[in-house]
Amino acid sequence: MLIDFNQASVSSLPKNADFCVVGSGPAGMTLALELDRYGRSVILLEGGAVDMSLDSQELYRGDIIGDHYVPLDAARLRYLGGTSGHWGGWCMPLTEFAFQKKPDFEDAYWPIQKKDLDPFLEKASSVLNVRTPNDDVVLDSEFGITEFSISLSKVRFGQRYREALNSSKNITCVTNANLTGLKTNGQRVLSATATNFAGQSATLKAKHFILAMGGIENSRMLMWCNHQASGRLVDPRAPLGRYWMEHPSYLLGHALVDFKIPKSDYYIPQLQLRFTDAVLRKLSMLECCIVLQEISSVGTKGLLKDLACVAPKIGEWAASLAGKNIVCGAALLAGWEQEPIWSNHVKLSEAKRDRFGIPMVELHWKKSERDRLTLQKGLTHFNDYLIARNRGRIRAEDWVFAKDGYPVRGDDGVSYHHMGGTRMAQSAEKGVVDSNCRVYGQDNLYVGGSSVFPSGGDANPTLTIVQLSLRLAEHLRHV
Amino acid sequence: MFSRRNFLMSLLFFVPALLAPSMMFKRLNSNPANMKKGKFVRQGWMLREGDV
Repeated sequence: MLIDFNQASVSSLPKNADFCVVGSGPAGMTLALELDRYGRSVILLEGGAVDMSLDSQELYRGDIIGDHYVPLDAARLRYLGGTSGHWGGWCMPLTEFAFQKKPDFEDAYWPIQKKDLDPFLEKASSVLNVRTPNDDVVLDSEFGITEFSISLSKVRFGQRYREALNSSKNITCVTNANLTGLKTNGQRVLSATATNFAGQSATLKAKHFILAMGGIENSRMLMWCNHQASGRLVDPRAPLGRYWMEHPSYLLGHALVDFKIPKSDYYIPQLQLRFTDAVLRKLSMLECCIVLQEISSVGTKGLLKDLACVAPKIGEWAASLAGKNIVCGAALLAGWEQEPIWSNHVKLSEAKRDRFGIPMVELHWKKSERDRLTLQKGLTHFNDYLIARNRGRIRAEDWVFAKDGYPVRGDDGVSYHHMGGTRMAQSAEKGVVDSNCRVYGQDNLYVGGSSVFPSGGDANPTLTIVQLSLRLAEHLRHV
Repeated sequence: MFSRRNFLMSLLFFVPALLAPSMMFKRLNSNPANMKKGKFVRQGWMLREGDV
């Protein structure tokens, strides 16, 4: 059932349920529908409406302190289905490497392993209406270069699952219901307070509460509710809001290669490459994917001409291949893993508050020198491969090998992947939630979504978010 | 005739002029720390000896 809290009276809202899920994006929606399948009652709170509204979107404003980033109210969507309303749809699972400990990056590991999420891969692919992604294909074993596939989802959760919510007997989805507080006795959350845009509030009780509000909002609301509860909500040792991450991604330059770039699920031909665990460990780097996107023949000719001027001998080689229609010009892009570090964090603003009196968000985020090294090592290794095998040459932009500074151009550099802040760890000293996504400090409060990622790998997060929600549902059905 | 002031002025103007080509060469043929021996960067192209 769907109820619009802006239109409905407080008395028409459900007062009690087995579960109260806050947020209807990929994490919350998947969880609610799965709990419904197990026959459990769910109150699903969505802060926005069924469609986008300015009143709701405005609540996503915030300040960014550090590197260039897109405005936070443009980076995420606050209505039914959440940010899946404008996502790119790339689906790929995290690699084993992403979960494992790495000697040179002490905080970049999970307390669970890939095998713990694998059982939920097929179902997650079905939720996202994509084929299960294929395993990586080794292109060159000596250089440890593999091609990975992506599945492209066109699922907008709000559109696709609205009818399922409406017809569900177990789910009551309340839109325009903004979480404004959680009441705790210090061990268990007793109730949640939801407030509509007219300022009316309702108290909702449930046996278990799950925050699935997004990779920034989960931290913000936990901080706020913890503040209201005089610090009795979250274990005081937990690094709440800390270790926030993105996937830096940039256009690095161009390349001429002597192979055809295949058609893919993506809109234009592109080849996605990454490195094996052995190479990543040997080079002491985190994950980095290199993407070659085919460019026009005019662009290829321009590159050939430029190469011939700069390096006549190799230019001749490239031109001779071009005559045989073998050489291919490509835009060269990379997206890579950012090291989780304490200083990148979500914070409550001391100066600004939203319409509900809740502090707005401040995102403190910078890419480190070690982040740049991951990119440089990745690109250099790919270049070594191209040169050793005589498969092509790269023309990189000047900034790539500079000591500091990144280009500032639109959303170049931004993947809209918000990870960390309520990270998963084996202890409260290292994380905010345990390996079952339960908040340290409460028996019945959980977190869903990419804010629990302790490391981000190089995979787009949505498939993993859905896998985690399915796994959480499996856990919650037994509690 | 060749005062100390003129000498200093000549340093100011001529030394950078003398160094400029080598600085330019360095920029054209820089060698990022990650690149191995025998490889270099010229006008953005990541090349190896024998390419030019």
